[in-house]
Amino acid sequence: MAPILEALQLSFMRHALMAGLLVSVACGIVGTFVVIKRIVFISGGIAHAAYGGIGLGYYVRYSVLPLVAAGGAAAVDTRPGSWPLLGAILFSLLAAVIMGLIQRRTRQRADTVIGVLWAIGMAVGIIFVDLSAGYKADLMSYLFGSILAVERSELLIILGLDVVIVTLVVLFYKELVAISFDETFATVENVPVDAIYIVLLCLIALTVVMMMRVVGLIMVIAMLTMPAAIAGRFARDMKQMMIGSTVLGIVFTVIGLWVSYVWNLTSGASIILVSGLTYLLSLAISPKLLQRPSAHA
Amino acid sequence: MDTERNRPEVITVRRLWAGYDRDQVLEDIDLTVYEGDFVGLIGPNGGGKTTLLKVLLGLLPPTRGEVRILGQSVREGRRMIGYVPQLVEFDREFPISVWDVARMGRLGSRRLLRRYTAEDDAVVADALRQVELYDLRDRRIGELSGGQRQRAYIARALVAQPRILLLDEPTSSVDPQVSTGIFEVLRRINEHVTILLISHDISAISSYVKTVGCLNRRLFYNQGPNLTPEMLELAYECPVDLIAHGVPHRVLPMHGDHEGHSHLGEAG
Repeated sequence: MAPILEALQLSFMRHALMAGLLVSVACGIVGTFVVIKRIVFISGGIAHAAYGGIGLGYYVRYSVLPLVAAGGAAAVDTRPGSWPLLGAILFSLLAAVIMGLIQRRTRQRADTVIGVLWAIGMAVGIIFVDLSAGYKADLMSYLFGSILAVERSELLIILGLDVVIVTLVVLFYKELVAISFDETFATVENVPVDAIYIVLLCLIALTVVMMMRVVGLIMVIAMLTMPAAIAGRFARDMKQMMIGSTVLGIVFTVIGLWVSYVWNLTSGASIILVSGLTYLLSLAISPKLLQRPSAHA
Repeated sequence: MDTERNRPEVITVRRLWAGYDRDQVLEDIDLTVYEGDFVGLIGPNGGGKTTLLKVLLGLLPPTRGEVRILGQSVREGRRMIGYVPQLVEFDREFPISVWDVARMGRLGSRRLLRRYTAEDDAVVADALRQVELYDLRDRRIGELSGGQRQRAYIARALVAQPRILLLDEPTSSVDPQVSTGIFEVLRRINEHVTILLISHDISAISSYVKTVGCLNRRLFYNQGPNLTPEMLELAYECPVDLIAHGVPHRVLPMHGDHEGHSHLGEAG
């Protein structure tokens, strides 16, 4: 216990825990839809395209702002602040809408186009960072996560995103479930399926941005899907699955943080390994609820 | 036949052409379904059955021609249609109960931002009782057998309180006994709901169906209860062995020519 109490004395540890809790909520709810609707690939595309926004945020912070307010406070404070996160929100939402429209409007090769946008987003990010002046060492933190470096302003953004995500899911819950289960039937019932699908992709976009801070861009998809996948094997309905995967996400984050603190390891990778090992273990456990063999007619 | 003129038309299809890009799957279809009908359309795979359903459901705009549902456009009229899709393999681990699946039939009447009400629950309970699934309402949909799942989809369609039930291959993946059970359910429903079903399997057009038609790009439908040799010949363009399938309506002679082509289910 001693190391935990000791760790909680540190404000960055408290920030990290808070970020982990908040992100787990969005991740559990949105991850459930990603898993059951099988849209892991497009979620990966949105996550990586968001990197373009990180780059844009850096560019604005280090190359545009100093021009606007030369010699101001910005020049003294070298931290990027919440600019990269805001840029990522913009880019990921844009990617979600464009990818969603392409997937819906074109008949073929949507996965190719998504793959292309995925790469373009990342390339744009890298070029923006090249162009921006000054210090960029902590850029890697967006690739591999740095939950220990979450700032207060970012925590507020994450909280705001959580509120938006939960509100949207509550408002459109029955439609989201309907398009996940049977899109054709939902269409016939005059549910605006394309619009609801785009809303879902935007929810994924916002979630992905939050998670980028915790586990990093590269491991976002793992954290989005693993808790939901584990919960899905035992849940009877989607609400149970969402609650289950939120709780699992919190547990994984806390254990991962603790592991990383005690052994001085990268926090994002520790969280992912804890989730991954649990996922593999869960595959060995047969869910009691599914013991009845599914009869074939 | 005369009584049909006294009953209102629920589905009216006039000179309909439909298909994908340059490939017209449906050519010049005329179809009138009257209230209380129980119509079975058969045809080979690729003959346009699914395309016709898509047009009736507004999922595919027609190339030419007109479709009216209860005198309204398809988009308006489909509110009055209960759609029962073909049973396809699906994610058996999808976490949703039979009850929640059936309740999706209320999506059309509970618009965006509205919650389901107690009235919805009563309708869902009633529909599940009609298909004898009420006791299984808390089961996960993936735990049901094929026949039970088909009945769950029928319940979902009924929950929309439709005036027309549209079924796509309702008995394609269930054994004959289960199939009879499904038709028994449909016969009761037909007492107050018009039914149109399509199938590639002639044995699915059982004696429960009141009128039959053949669809293979063109539609051969004369409001009659029997498949005529002419209809089948036109629709399938090959000899059809009806005896082997035990069609209840009538038995047709084999054609001597074009030997080598075979069953309805595999034609086309």
